[in-house]
This record gives sequence, C-alpha cells and structure tokens, in this order.
Amino acid sequence: MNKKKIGLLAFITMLAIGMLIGCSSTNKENSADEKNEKTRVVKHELGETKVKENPKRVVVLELGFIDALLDAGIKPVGVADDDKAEQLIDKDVLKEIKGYKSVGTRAQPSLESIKLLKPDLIIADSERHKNVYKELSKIAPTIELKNLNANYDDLLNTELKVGEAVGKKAKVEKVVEEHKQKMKDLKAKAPKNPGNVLVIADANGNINARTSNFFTTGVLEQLGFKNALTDPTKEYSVKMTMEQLVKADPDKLIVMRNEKGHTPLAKQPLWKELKAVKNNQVYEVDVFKWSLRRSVQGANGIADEAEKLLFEGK
Amino acid sequence: MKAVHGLSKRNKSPLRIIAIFLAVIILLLISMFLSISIGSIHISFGTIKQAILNFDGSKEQSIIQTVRLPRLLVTAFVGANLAVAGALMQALTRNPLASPGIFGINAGASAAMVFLTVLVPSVSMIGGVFGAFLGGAFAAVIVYVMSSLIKGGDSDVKLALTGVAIQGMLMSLTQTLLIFNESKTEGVMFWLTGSVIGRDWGHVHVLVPFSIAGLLIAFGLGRASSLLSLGDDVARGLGQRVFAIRAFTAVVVIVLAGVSVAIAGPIGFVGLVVPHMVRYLIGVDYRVVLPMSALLGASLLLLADVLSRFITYPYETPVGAVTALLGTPYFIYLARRKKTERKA
Amino acid sequence: MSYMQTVNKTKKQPSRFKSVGLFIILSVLIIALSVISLSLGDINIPPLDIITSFIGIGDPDLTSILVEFRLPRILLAILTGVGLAVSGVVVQSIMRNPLASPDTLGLSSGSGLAAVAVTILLPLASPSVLSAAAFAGGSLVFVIVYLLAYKKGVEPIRFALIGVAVSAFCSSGIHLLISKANPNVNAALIWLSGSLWGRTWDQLIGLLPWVVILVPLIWLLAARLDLIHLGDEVARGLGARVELIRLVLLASAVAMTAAVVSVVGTIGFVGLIIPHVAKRLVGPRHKKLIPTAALLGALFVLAADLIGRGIAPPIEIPAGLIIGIIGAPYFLYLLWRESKK
Repeated sequence: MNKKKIGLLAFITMLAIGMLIGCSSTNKENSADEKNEKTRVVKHELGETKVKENPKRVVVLELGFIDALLDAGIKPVGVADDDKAEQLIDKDVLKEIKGYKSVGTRAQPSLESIKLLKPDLIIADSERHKNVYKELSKIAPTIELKNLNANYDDLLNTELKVGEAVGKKAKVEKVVEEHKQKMKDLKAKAPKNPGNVLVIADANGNINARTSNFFTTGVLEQLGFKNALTDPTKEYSVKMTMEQLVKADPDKLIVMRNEKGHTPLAKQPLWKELKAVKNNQVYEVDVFKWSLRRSVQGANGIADEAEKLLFEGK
Repeated sequence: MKAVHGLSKRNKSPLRIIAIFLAVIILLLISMFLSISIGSIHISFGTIKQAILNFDGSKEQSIIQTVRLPRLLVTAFVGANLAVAGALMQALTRNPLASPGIFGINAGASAAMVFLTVLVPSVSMIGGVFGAFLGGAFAAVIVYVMSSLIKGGDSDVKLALTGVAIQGMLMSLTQTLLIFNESKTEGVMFWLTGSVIGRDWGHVHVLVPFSIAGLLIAFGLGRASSLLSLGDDVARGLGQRVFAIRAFTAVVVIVLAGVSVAIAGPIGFVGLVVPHMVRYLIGVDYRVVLPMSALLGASLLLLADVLSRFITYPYETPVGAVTALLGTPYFIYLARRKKTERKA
Repeated sequence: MSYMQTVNKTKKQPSRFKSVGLFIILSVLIIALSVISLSLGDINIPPLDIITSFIGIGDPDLTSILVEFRLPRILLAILTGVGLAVSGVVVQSIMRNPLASPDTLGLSSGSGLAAVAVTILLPLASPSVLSAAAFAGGSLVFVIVYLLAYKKGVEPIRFALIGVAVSAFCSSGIHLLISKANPNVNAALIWLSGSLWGRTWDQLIGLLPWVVILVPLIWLLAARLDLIHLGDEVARGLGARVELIRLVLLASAVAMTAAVVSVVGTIGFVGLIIPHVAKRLVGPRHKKLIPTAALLGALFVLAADLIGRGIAPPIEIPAGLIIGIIGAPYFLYLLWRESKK
C-alpha cells in the first residue's frame, strides 16, 4: 500500500514540476516581448492584432490566402497544404511559391512547424483555427479571416485585409478594383436575360446544389445570373433529388466534376426532361476551379470560364 | 434456460394471426401509395391509376416511373430485408438487442464505400454497391470467425465484444479517410446516414433478386429459428444440426443485410425494433414472425421515407435519421416494460 | 454464470510483490514514453537538450517548443488516459457488464451531438462554448438515460439497453448534422475522433482538478466497490448503502469522462478495453485495479498521440483514430491469447 502511495505521489510531483516549469517559461517568454519596430493594428474576425509594419515571413493556413498574398507581392514561407500541394494548388501558383515549407493539414496545422519558421505574421481561417487563436498569437501576430465559409463579399474583404496586414494595401486594392471592373465589363457583355443558373456538384450520382451563400454563385450573380435555387437556407450546399432538380428546372446547369467526361447523372431517365439538357445548356467544369479556389484570382478564373461557356448570346 | 424475448409466449389463435397479417398488408398498400404520391410534386391517385393503365409519358408519369417507383421498391425491400435479418439475428443470438449491425456489416460497408470514393472517384454505381457489400460481408466474417477463435466464456459476450472492436476499428479507418480527403468526400456523407434518395432501376435490378432469394430462404428457416431461439440444447435435442443451421442463418443475415446496406447505406433500428413489434403482435413462432417482419419492415420504412420528405421541406432528410428518431422512443418504451432477466 | 463471476472465481490473487513490480514497470514506461514524446516531432530534440532546456540554459526556441507545445500535450494525454480508464473500470463494475463503458451509456454520443451541433450550427462560437456544450451534452444525456432507466431503482440491464438506444439516437443526430455537406464538417469529424492537437496549458489546467480530485475519490471508494461486486444482496447484508455509493461512483465517472471529452473530444475504447487488460494483469479487486487501469490508460493514450504525431510530420493523425485502428485489433488479440490459456 505504501509503495503505491509513493508511486502516486511521484506522479503528481512530476505533474506539478512540469507545470511550474511551464508557467515560469511562459512568463519569461512574455517579458521578452518588446517591439521596437513600428506596428499597425489590424482588425479581423476575432479581434485586433498588432502586426509588424512590413512582415516578410508569412505563414498561411488556408489555400485561398496564398492567392491574396501573391497579389500583395509576397510569397508565403509556410503553407498548410494537407500534404497534397499538387492536388489543391493551381500549377502556376505552385511554381511561384516553390520553396515554402508545409506546416501540415489545414484542419490541424503543426504549431511546432509554424514556430520553427519564425514567422512575422500568421494568416488563419476564422472557422478552422479559432480554437488555436491564442496559441498562434503566442507564436506570431495572427489574423483570422473568413475563407472556408466565405461568400463572395467575404472573399473581397479577406483579400483587402490581407493586403492591409502586410502593408501593401494600395497594391491589393488595385487588384480588387480591377476585379470589380472586370465583373462590371463582363456583366455588360452578358446576355440581357440570361435566365437562372444552378451549380451542382455531381458526386457519383448525388446532386449537391450550391446555394446563394456559396461564393461561386455569388460570382455568377455579379454577372447577372440568378440562382435557380430560391428556397431560403443557411447552408452553402444542399442535397437535391432528381425530382427536385426537375422542379427547379434551371435554364443553365453547371456540373462540377472531379474527373472529366463522366456524368452518372446523365444516365438517369429524368435528365432528359430538364430544360437545360434539351437546350444544350449543360456545362461540365472542373471542381477545383469552381469550388476550391476561394480567392479573388479564383473568382477571376470563374468569371473567365463563365464568359466562355455562358455568354453565347442566347 | 433462456427466455429472453421478455414476453410470455401466448398462444395466438390462427384467426388473430390472419387478421393481423391482413392489417399489415393494408398498411403496406397504404404506405406504398403514399410513397408514390407524395414528394416535392404531389401526384394524385387519379394520375397514378392513369400511369398504370394508360402510360403516356407525361412528366408526372415519368416521375412516377423513373423516380418514385424504383425508390419505393428499394425502400420496401430494404425494410423487409433488414427486419428479417434482425429477427434472424435475434433468434440466432438469443439476444433481443441483436441486430445485423453487431456483425459489423454497417461499419464494413461504410468503410468500403468511403475507401472506394476516395481511391476510385469514378467508380460506377454497381462497383460501389459490390464494394460496399464485400466490405460488409468481409467484416461480418471476420467478426464471426474471430469470436469463435476466442475459446471459453459466454458466446454472446464474445460476439458482442468482437463486434464492437471490429466496428470501432472500421469506423476509425472510415473517419481517417474522411478527415484527410475533405475535397473528395462530399458525396458520401449523405450515404453514410442511410438514404434511399436517388435510388433508381439500376439499384432495383441488383437489390431485388438477392432480396427475394434471401427472404424466401429465410422464411424457410422459420421452424429452425424458432427452435434456435429456445437454446442450443433444446434445438439439438429436437434433432436440429445446430452448427450447420447457425452458420447458414448467419450467411442469410449477411446477404440480406449486406445487400441492403450496400444499396441504401446503414439504416438503423429497423432490424432492431420491428422483430419486437412483430413478436408482440403474434408471438414467437418464427414461421409467421419472419414473413410478418418482412411486411411490417417494408411498411414502416416506406412510411419513414415519406416522412423524410417533409421534415425539412423542400429538402429531404436521410431516412436513417428518421428511423432513429422514431425507433428510439419505442425502443426505450420496450426496455422499460420488459421484465429484466439475467442470462443464466 | 455471469462473466464477472467467472473472472472472480478463476483468477488467483497475485502476490503483493508482483503488483508493486508492475506499478514500477508501468510508471517507468510512462516516463520513458514521455521522454520519447518530448523528443520526437517536427524537429527531433535529443534528450540532452531536453535536460538543458528544463534547467533553463537551453536554446530558447527548443525550450519554447518543449514547454509550450509538447509538455502540456503529454501531460494532457496522461490525464486523459487516466480519466477514461478509471471511468471505464467504474462503469463496468457498477453495470456488472463487460461491454459497458461511458460510451455505451450515451455519454460520448451526447457530448458528440452537442459539440457537433455547436461546430456546425454555431460556427462563430468560441472554443470555451464548445467545451461547455460538450460537457453539458454528455452529462445531460447521462442524466436522461438514468431517469429513463429508473423504475423503482436502476437495473443494470435496463440501464444498458436504454444507454444503447439513446447513444444510437445521438449518433444518428450526429450523422444527420454531418451529412449536410457543411464546410465545418471536417472540424466536427476531428472533434469526434478525439485529438490532442492544439491543446496546451489552458486545457491541461482545466482538466487537472477533475482528474486529481475524482480519481483518488473513486479509489477510496474502491474498497466499497469490492463489496458491491459480490452482488446487491450480499452487499446489503454487509450494511453498505449500495444505491448511494453506486450513484456517487457513477456520477464521478461520468463527470470525469465528460470533463475529458469536453477537452479532447470523444476518444472511444479506452474506457472499454483498458479495464479488461488491467483485470487480466492484477485481478478484479479495485484497490489494485484502479491504479493499474490508470497507468495503463495513460500509457495507451500517450502512445497513441505519439504515433499520431510521429508517423508523418507535420501531418497529424488524431489520437482517437490511432486508438481505434490499432487498439481495437490489439484488444482482440489479447482476448484470443488469454483464451488459449
């Protein structure tokens, strides 16, 4: 019995020593924090952060931020890329940022890796990384912006914030202005009554339709295309049955696929009942470009493709 | 002696049994009608009659033919299969809590389905179904074999422990795949809850032959099941070749449940609750319990499917969620009223 | 015969020397694993540097990594293992059911449902709301199960049945929420898998009082538990206030599990498997069983977290998934090996 009590005591003692070391070290860490450089206060989704005037070493924890950072003329030193860079990042972008270090998955980026990179600024997603905001802030000034759950307006705001945070506000504002102008021009070129559009992801015959909360539909709406899905919902994607698709009967149907040339939906008999099918207004697009690239550059890409596919003066 | 069904074995008069059969058949017909007519587009009885008698290719009739009818058939057969599989499981293991899920069929099919979705995104529907079926069957075989390898101890406990362990492993694998393949797994999430949405004639052509064969064989096992449910010793004493029958019954369960899960995803509670209801209504003679379970299972799942079209109108809810919603209170009620017995 | 009674009758009491030796071995293993865990990661820190860091003269970056990230995580893993394993022992004893664990009583699924609901429906909520919801969800569901099972007292079997039903219900709810293709699904799935990622001193300090207070409490009542084990009738004869003690023990186990789950998410299996393993090592008497289970649980979760972190840095596999993938088959292997004797 005595030996057991000793064992338990030893265990608790070890725990206590560990904690003491922890607390003292954290204190040392905080007191060494003296900033003699100029800083700027940036407001973001989770509060305000003092950011260095001109951050050079930036770590981004969502892919959409890469584009924004490049727009500001800075390459990230660390990216959370799920170890799947080739699949998730546009080829040209990948070439540009080559040499960065992966910090793990977007869902659970490695805090150690981030720390070892000695970043000046960390840009995180306000949904995925809100739980570790405090820990990230201890490593470096951190701003949390909407990306995963972003709709079209959020996307533009995020881009501007990134520009502001790295001290290249003017440069990024220019990119956003150019984008807005592009959208205006395209809208003018667009057919006057383009009808409504439905964007769906076809996953093995399952129909997941994008609502107006989704940023791609937002882009299309900017060009004058209304969303065929009008039932109110807070989701950004809803499951539809073939029946419901027939009921919605969009004028144009955009099908996002992972692999080209493979539409199980087309095999369904009711497919032929769709207005869009009868009028040859079904367009297959790459899911990466239309759903996964959440940035202003991504929106530009979508707009370009939309022009190619949808503006046939009908 | 185990008397685990918790209800006194009242001798039900044949007249009563026939009356209940008729009632359930009427229930089935009503639910079939509702299943065809209700949806995002309501179709009246007149139109349905027209479609049967005088098919003219109009949009509504097309909907009936290509969407509602196959969905009805899939739902009905899946409901019947799961109920019968559950009844067989409960007889086989003499455990009123048994359902095909214990064998790990659901977990195995889910793991296989997610695996395929991630590795082979362009897999065809048939490919997916076969993959899921193999996954479920494989898991069940592993559970059965491993639990028999462990010698000594209560066989029910062993089976359950093994089932829980294998299920846990498979579910962890499934979750790992889901977590690390965010962008590819959008389509499979709905399936994982158990859903009959979008099931078409292709699915029917796979489901029906296996179901009919499985169900007929299962009905044939009625007498053997009744005896099995009384205990191995009794069954043996009455001349049953216990081991062979147990193995054979297990195979039938795997086929019935496996093909259902492969087509509709893991739908719970049907296999668990329907046999209880049936035994409450007509006693423990499996020669009638099994067919009745099929009928009642089909009706209830059809009704659940109809309900699933309303809960978040106009969008649909997976039917597996509805069965859980309805099944749980009933199950709790069952648990409370039964006289608890310790297994000897 | 019931499973428990069989175990009671066939296990000889191991000698005192043997069990002390066991504790020492387990403790040493835990310390060794902790050191390895401190050393491995995105950057491997040799033990010498670990020592210099703790004394205070090491490289500040390394020290910071050790102290900010690895040390609290390791300690949290230990606490988690201890909490879950001991809860498992209590639940299995009280329910007299080798398949019982806090999971099967609806605790995990109740927490899970609350947490997933918050993650998906209230994505802007702060992390402490998430933890509080998980704690509340688990406790609430447990209370509901208890109340539903109460009919002139609580029979273990009815309790188990209702626990299973309510668990399945919550699981369906979870599946339903997850099926909505919401972008936050991934975060929900990770929480459901149980993970120590991103947990630091705050979480550790939040969990510490629960474990440090409840585990000794449970251990102290261990002597009484041994009486209960022989069956209600006997215990009543011996003057123990059975129902009350059961309730306190159960409540403690539930509270501790709820606290653990609210910090690391739902890690399954520890509460189910570890009690079995511990029983086979030291027998069913709780005086030895509880500390053994605690040490084993700590070892288990520590190892799982290490593997999850170390397999492919900087990618991290949640510890709960490692436990499921490796722990479950290992458990079967143990059962099989034991049965051959």
